[in-house]
Amino acid sequence: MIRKSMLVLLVLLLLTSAVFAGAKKEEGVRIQFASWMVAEESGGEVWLPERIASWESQNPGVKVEIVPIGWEDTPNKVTLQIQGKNAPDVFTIESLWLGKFAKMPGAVVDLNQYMDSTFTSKLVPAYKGGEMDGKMAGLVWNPNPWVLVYNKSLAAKAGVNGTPKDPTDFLDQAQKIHSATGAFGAGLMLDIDEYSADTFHILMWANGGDMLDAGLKPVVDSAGTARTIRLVKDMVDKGVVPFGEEVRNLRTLFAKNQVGFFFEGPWIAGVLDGEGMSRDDWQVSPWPGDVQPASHILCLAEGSKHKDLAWDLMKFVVTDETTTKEYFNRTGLMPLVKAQYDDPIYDNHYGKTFLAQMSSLRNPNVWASQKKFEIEIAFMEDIQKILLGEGAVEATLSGLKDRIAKILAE
Amino acid sequence: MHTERTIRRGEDISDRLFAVLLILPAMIVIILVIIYPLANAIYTSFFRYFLTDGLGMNFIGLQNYRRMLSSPEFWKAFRHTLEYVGGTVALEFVIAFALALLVNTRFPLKNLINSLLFVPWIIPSVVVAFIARFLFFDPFHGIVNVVLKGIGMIPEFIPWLKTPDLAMPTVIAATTWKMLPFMFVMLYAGLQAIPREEIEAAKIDGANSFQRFLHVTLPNMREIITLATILEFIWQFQYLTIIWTTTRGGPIDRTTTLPILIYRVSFMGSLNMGYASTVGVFWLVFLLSFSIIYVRFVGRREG
Repeated sequence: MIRKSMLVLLVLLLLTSAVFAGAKKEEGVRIQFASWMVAEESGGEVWLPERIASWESQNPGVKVEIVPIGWEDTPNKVTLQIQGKNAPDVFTIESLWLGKFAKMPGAVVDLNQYMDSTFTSKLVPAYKGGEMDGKMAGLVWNPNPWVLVYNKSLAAKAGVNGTPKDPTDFLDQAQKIHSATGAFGAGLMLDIDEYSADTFHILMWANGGDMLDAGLKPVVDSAGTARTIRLVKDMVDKGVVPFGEEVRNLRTLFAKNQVGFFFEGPWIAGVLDGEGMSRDDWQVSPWPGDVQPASHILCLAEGSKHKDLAWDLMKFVVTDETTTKEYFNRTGLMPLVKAQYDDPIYDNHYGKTFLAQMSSLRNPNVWASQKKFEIEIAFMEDIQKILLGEGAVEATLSGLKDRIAKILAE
Repeated sequence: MHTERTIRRGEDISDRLFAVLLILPAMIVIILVIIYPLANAIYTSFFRYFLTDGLGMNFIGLQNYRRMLSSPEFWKAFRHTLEYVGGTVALEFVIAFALALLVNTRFPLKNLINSLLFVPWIIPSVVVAFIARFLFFDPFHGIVNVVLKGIGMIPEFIPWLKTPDLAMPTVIAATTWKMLPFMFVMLYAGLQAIPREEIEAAKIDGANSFQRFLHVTLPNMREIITLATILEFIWQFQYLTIIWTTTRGGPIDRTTTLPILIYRVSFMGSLNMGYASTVGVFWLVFLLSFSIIYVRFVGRREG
């Protein structure tokens, strides 16, 4: 009798759990907006939700769920969400991930259906940074070229102007900063990650080298790449450049006046504010050569059930002047709309430097490969091997070329 | 008689049915969370399956296994895993046993040691990794560098986590600090369970402390040592957090273990589920074989 009662109780408990485990029925339309700019201390984490609330008030019955996803987590988390068919309606990516998502079946909507010539004629040319193989895979939110950022006091102590006229002058100024102050002359990203490999292109291109050619064949064993690595190794050996640092640690070191130069994008204003460094203590200068973009791009998920609304939200975030102006003030991120640059807030050294650098943007060829991640990890492992003196330059690069070829063939 | 037997058989069936129904929810969870994913992983290992290329699953037989067995990166990761696990378990065991023996005596600070030992256990692994990376082993301000330079043991600060030969010992040290409490608790419980009469008898027979340790303590602790070390071995074999947070498998690939390799292959880049499953199957077979052999030879022998 007791057992039968227990059995009945157990079955009832299971049934009750099954009933209440179902999702709460939502009323109205919900759109998800995912970005690291609301996940981190970027300057945008307060402003964006405010502006999105403003958009909601213009669209009654529509609720935007803001989904914070950290920058490092974004490519993998969003990829898994796409595979699980529960991707956010709108998600933010960076230029280096464009190829991955543009080529992923069922990932993103081709925005050419929304972006006619009337719309695109109002944008700076960098809007094309959202395009891959004829598909407009994303709407560039902030066109972000890389530039040099330098510490004014370290530069002053070393007697350099922080604005190198060519790559040789850059190395020279970095060396002088190190000699005069003991700080690292330059912070280069030399960790085993994609970001480090992408930034390495800036120096490779300056020396005529590259990772893959336009046909996606490995060319890491070129003389230009070898020359670049020798230069970097020399700087690491002399203590001018710290070994193996990743981007966030470099920012902290820079804010502590331990690094003279480093490569960054327009977001650096908000980031260094968060590190407690005054905007008077640093300045940007153009890199005398090609740089890769690190634009923030909004993508519309193929699986979105409210594509038109999601597109409207994307357009609002990117083009609404009240939004973009204060966003620039808080984060340093530049707008996409041409006419907005007439505003005096962009008419300063900072704004002009980034605007000018936008004319020397170049996508690394490796971005067009779906094996970008694997290739760049292999690349940085071997770069570190050389920098640590565990492999001769030519022999290691030759082995790396074979390794990359195998990765591409998988 | 016949009625009695029928009634008893009926009761037996009813008892069994009731027992099955009670364990059914747990069995369903085990099947869904363990057995199904395991079977799926074994199945997937025979396919070319990249999550991101939209080509679906293509049967390739043993190609993934051939690739794995001929891959220098795989064998390096396997070797690094054995170094990491061997180093961590050995260090934990030695330190934990020493502390357990100390605390098992009338040691004045035993309660304090007991409490302090649990601090790393209650701190999340990611926090432990950050403490190791930015507090202890930071190349510019780390405590270890400051102390060692202060006592003249090193001329300059050392980038522990970025030096190829030092990165693995450093992550082993960090992991040992985190996992030590578990080993300590197991060994201390084992020491507490040793019959006092055996120790007294050994003393009466004239055995010194080392002889008592060798002939009384260790034999009585065999089962608990086997259990603690095999559990730690299995756990450390799969441990990702501290290495990922401190070195991400670097410098170069010096701390890339099998968990790091699988994580990169399956959750980053092109999400190669086929190959990741293959490495997972190898992992399963290795751990099962190792556990069986280890328990058989190190554990208590029957009869």
